[in-house]
Amino acid sequence: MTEPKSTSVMDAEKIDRSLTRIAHEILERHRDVGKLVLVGIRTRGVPLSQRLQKKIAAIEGTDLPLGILDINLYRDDITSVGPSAILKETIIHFPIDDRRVILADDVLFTGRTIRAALDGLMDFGRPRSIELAVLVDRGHRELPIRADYVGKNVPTSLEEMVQVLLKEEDGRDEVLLVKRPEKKESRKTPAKAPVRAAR
Amino acid sequence: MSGMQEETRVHAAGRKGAATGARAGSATRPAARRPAPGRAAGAAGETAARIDAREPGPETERPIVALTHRHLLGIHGLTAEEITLILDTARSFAEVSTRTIKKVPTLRGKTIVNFFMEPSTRTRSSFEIAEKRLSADTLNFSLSGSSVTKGETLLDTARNLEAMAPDMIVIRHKASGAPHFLARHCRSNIINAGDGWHEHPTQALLDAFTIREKKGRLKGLRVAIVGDLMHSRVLRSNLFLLKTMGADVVACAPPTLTPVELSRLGAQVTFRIDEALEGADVVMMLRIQRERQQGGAFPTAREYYNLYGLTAERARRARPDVIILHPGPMNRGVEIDSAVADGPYSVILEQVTNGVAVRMAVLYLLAGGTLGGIAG
Repeated sequence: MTEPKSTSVMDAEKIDRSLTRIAHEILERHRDVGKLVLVGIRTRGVPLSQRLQKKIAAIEGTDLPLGILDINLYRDDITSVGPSAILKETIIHFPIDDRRVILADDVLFTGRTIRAALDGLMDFGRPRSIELAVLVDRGHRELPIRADYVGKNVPTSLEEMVQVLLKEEDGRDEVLLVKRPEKKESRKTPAKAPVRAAR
Repeated sequence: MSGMQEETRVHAAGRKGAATGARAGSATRPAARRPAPGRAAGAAGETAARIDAREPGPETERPIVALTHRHLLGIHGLTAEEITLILDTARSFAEVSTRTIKKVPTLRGKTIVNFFMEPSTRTRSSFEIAEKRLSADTLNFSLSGSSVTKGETLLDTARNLEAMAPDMIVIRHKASGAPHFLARHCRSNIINAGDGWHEHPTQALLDAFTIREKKGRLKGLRVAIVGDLMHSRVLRSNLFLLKTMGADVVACAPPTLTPVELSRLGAQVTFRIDEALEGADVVMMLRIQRERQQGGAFPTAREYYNLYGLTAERARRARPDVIILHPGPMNRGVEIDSAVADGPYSVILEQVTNGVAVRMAVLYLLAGGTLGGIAG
C-alpha cells in the first residue's frame, strides 16, 4: 500500500512502553491472575496479545493462556462487503467459562469488530468478564463499546486511516496516521465490481 | 454416447472459443486464466468465471481473499488461486465443527434451497449440515413428492423456486448442465451438487482438501483414478482440479467405460489397474454406477472385481504411504475390497467429515458480497 501522507503517531519505543503500562494495569485490576486469559483478534491483535503475555510473565511469572479469534464469521457486513481477509482458524484450546478474558486488538474504531468478537467468544463459553485492550483508540464509535486499556488515544477524522505496523506482521513497529484524500470510507475494502450473469 | 455429447455441448456453450482450445493443453491453463477486467459478462452465463484480486498491491501481489463468482457450477473455470482459497478457507471451517457450539451466525437470515432431483444421502446431508452450521435457513426439495414427478418442466420448477426468493440453490440433477440452466434463469447463487455425467465440484474440492491434509500438497502427486470413468462426474471435476493444481492423473477403467476424449483433458489413460496403481500417491476409486449401466459394459460384477477391484494385494503397487479415497456409496466386493475400504490407508470417512468444512467454505465464499445482491 502506498502512503500518500502519513504521520507517525507512535514509534517502537512508545508502543513497547504502552504495552508495558497496559500489562501493569491489567495486573493492578486483577489480583487473581489464575483466572485471566488473553485472546487476540486476528490479525494484529495476535502479536499484541503475545507481547502482553510475555510482559505479564516477566512481571508475575505466570504464562496466561492465549487464544486467537478470527471474527470474519461474525461480521455484520459479510454479505454486503464480502471477506476482507482469508478466513483463518480460531484457536481457543482452553475453556473460557468463568474466566476473565482480556481481548486484544490493534485499533478501536467503529466498535463493530469488537461486537463480532464478543459474539464469537460467547460461542466458546460464558466468561466471568471480558475486558478490551487496544493499542490505539481512534474514536468514531458506532456501537456502545469502549476499551478498558488504551495504548494511545488518537483523535482522527474519517478521512484518515490508522495503520498499525508490528514486527511480527510488517517487519517493524510503528503506528501511522495516513491521510486518504479521495476515499471517505476508511478501513473498508473497496467494493467489488458487480459481476453480472449474461442475459 | 448421447450423454457424452450433451456434456460436450454444455462445455462448449459455457466457454469462449479460445478457452476451449486451451482446455486440452492443461499446462497452459493456470496462468492463462487470470482474468482481464471486463471479460466477466461473456462467460458469466455458464460459469460466471471471474475472480478479482482486491486491489493487488503495487509491488507484491496479495493473495486473493474473495471469490466474485456468483455460482459454483463446476471446477472448470476456477483458477489455482481460487481453488487454494477455497481449500484454505475450508481449513478454518473444520475448526467450527470441533466446537461445543457448532454454529456461527455468518449466513443468518439467508435461505438456501436444496433442490435434489436425484437420490443423494451424503451430499445432501453434508450440504444441510454445512448450511445449518452457518445459520442459514434451509429448505429441502427432493424428487419424491415434488411436482417434477407430476410433469413440471425444470424451467417452471426453477421459476417457482425463484418466486420464493431463496438466496442460494444447491442443485443435484440427472441432466448435465441443469445448474447452468438454473443460473441463467434465477437470481440466486447456484451451487452444482452433481449434474449428470458432467461435474460434481464440491466432491472434487473435498477430495483435494483430504489429499492436501494428508500429503501437504497437490502439485506433483501421482493420482490414480479407477472405476467407471464414463459416467463419473466425480472423475471430471477431480481431473479438472488436479490438473489445475499440477498433479498427474492416471485414469483406469475397462475400455467400455472409458470415454475417448479423456486423454485430451490431460489424463494418462490405461486399461490395466496394476499399471495405474504403480507408484501412486493417491488412489481414488469410483463407484460402479449400476443405475447408469444400461448396456453391458462388463459381464458381471464378479468379473469386474477380479479385473479392476482394489484389493490389498494390488494396493501394494502404490507407494507405501498411499491414501485411498472413494466418493461413496461403496460397492464392497465390486470396485473395492472391504479389507482396503476399512484398512489403514483408507481416508473415506475423513472425506465425509471434510465435506462439511469444504461446503461451508463454498457457501461462505459465494455469499461474500454477492448474496442476494446483484440481479442476474
